[in-house]
Amino acid sequence: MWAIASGIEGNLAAYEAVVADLRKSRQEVENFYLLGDTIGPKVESNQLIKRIQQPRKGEPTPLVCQGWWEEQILILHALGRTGSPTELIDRYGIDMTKTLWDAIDSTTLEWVRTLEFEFVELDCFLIHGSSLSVSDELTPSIDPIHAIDRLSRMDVNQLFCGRSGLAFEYRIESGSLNSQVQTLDNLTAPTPTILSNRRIIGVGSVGRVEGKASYTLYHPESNKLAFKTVRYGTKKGFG
Amino acid sequence: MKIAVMSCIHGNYEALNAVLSDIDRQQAEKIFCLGDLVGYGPQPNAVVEMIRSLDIPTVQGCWDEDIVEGLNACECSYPSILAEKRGKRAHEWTNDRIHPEVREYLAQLPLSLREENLCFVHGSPHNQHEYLMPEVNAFTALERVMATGADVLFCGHTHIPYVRTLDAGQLAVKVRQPEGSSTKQFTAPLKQIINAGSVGEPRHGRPNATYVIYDTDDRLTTLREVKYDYQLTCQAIIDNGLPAIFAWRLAQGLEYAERAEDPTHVCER
Amino acid sequence: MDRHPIYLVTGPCGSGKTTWIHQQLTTSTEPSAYICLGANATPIDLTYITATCPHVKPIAAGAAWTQLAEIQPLYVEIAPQLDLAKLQLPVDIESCQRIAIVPKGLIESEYHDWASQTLISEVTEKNVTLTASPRWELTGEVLDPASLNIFWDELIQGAYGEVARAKGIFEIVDGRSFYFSFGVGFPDATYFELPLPPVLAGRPTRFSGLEVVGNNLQPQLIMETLEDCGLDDRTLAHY
Ligand SMILES: [Zn+2]
Ligand SMILES: [Zn+2]
Repeated sequence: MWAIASGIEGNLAAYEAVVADLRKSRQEVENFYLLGDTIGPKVESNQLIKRIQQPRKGEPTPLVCQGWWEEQILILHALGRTGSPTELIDRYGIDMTKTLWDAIDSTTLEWVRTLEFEFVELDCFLIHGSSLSVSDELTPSIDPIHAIDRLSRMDVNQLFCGRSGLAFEYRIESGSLNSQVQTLDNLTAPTPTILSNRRIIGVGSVGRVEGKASYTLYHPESNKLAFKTVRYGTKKGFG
Repeated sequence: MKIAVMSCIHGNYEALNAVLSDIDRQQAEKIFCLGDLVGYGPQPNAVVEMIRSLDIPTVQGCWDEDIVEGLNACECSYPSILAEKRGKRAHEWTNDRIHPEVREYLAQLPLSLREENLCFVHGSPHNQHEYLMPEVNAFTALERVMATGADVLFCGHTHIPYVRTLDAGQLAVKVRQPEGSSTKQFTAPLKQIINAGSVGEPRHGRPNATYVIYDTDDRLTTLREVKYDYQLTCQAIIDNGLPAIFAWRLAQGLEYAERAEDPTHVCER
Repeated sequence: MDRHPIYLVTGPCGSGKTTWIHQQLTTSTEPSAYICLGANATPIDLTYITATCPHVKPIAAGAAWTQLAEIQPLYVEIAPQLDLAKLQLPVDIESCQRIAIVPKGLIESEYHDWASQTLISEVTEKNVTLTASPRWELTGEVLDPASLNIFWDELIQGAYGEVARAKGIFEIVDGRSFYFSFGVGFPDATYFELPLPPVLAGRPTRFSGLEVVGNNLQPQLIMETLEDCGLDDRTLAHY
């Protein structure tokens, strides 16, 4: 069984709730993925990252990739894939650059730098945004052609993502499309391209909604998915 | 209305002249150009001046961008070290000779043009450097057309002309959320990708220039192949100190260098 | 002792001498020896035969002739540059099997006169006189395979002058060594991997090189293009 979560956003209490829920389930978690936005623009992020790096006995070690917030802090420190923090300012205003800068300490920054962009396992691609970019937000209402494009860019059947914060399964049950090509020397007969059973999975968000953490369980053997929601006390600080 | 669409002139003035005459004979009312006015060929300034003087609506090609911004095509867009070295030599040669006003003109070219239900781009709507080869997955191809909101997508960059018709698209989607699930059926309307080939650097195995005529009334495309005296361009390549191998490749109908191994791969620079 | 322990093989450029000898050597597994005689011959043929026929003892040109009598049958390839009339060997030439490999259509020649047996090869005679046969030693050069393919296609299609015959041994970036062969009239241009141990560190020290026979060749351009196909030390260090 895999557990796949995203969007903790520095919410330590929410993360503890998910880890406790996993422990309670008594099923062995082979892979525990955290698909980005593990940090958020708050100092608790540093404490959370320490907690993540030191799993307690019986807890799975998370496999963490970069998310949107990780990308933003790297851009602020001129370590990102693009130059200027325009996206951060557009979304949250100029003050957010200082808030985020101040919140994330150098130890956490170093840790962020070591993160992967994505994971590929079996026929699954796991990423924060999509195969297009970390900001690409896939939702349950996307256009199916758009969805197929994101899946085929990585040539996978299943794409797990966390950007929208929503828990959903978007399954293309069947599709067909005729294509005919005329060149200078040749005209092909129309040929159908057929596809079936490809899906995009939104894994939910651990920390975005206070008091309610959501994440996803996946069984690679049976291909079954389960969306989990854990409620927890909103009183902060576990000591 | 008949329109003519051409691409990838690559500094080959003789070929451009021949194509313009052929367009006259076909009585096309309007001409569009999909970029790559310069690069590899021996007459970049003359080609740009001709396009400007005729006021031909033009989008920016990958070579036009590189000449303006400095060479930033990553090595992954070249299929080999040899092709990369040749590409760099062609870039340097062009960069040294291009007139300032030509550079300014190339800099202000748009990345795409729209005319009613037609869209014009160089490589793909997502990126000037993406190759929309005719064998690209049909759904991927459809996504590229749908991304523009148009019915017909004109592109170039691959240097081999083709018309691809995407039709009878059917999709069944099931969405499941904790709140409940729903099923949706989609039908995709008929869409077309029309690749205009290359005026000055053909790659279909013959040295002739290629472009397309599209009739907006009956939605019919004609792929045009135009003979011209390519030996004049070959001679100009050699006389102007470009690598002699370019002349040989032009005469064979082979491209000089560019073409990525993985056509839809686009580097995240 | 065999009836014909020593084969002297001659014929014009590109007539298929090495091909014929290789055929003889691969049809048997008995110990044999091979030597190529000729003014500054590249060791391409020798390397090719040694790599593909482990039962054959290669004798480097210039080695002591006393070695020759030790293993028989012995195949002696005589490059066309050598004057057959002045040929001096430490064995009695008359007692050797003298084979001339001539192209279709060549009816009279010094090869016919000299040989005890004339074999007509698949190659058709070209009605041009071959003027040049430049050669390059490339030992230590490591080539990019995609570039090598472009270069080879250009070479045999005439981008660097009219080519009647070309053969080469090239080292490529993954440490493997390839034999390339082309001849006008030969069944097809071929290339295959030589069964040699891969070179995994540094530059290879074993022989590699190219030999081209043709008209109006542009050796300077060929050399420059080969240089453009090569990997510099920095790129090589990546692998
Ligand atoms: Zn082009
Ligand atoms: Zn282009």
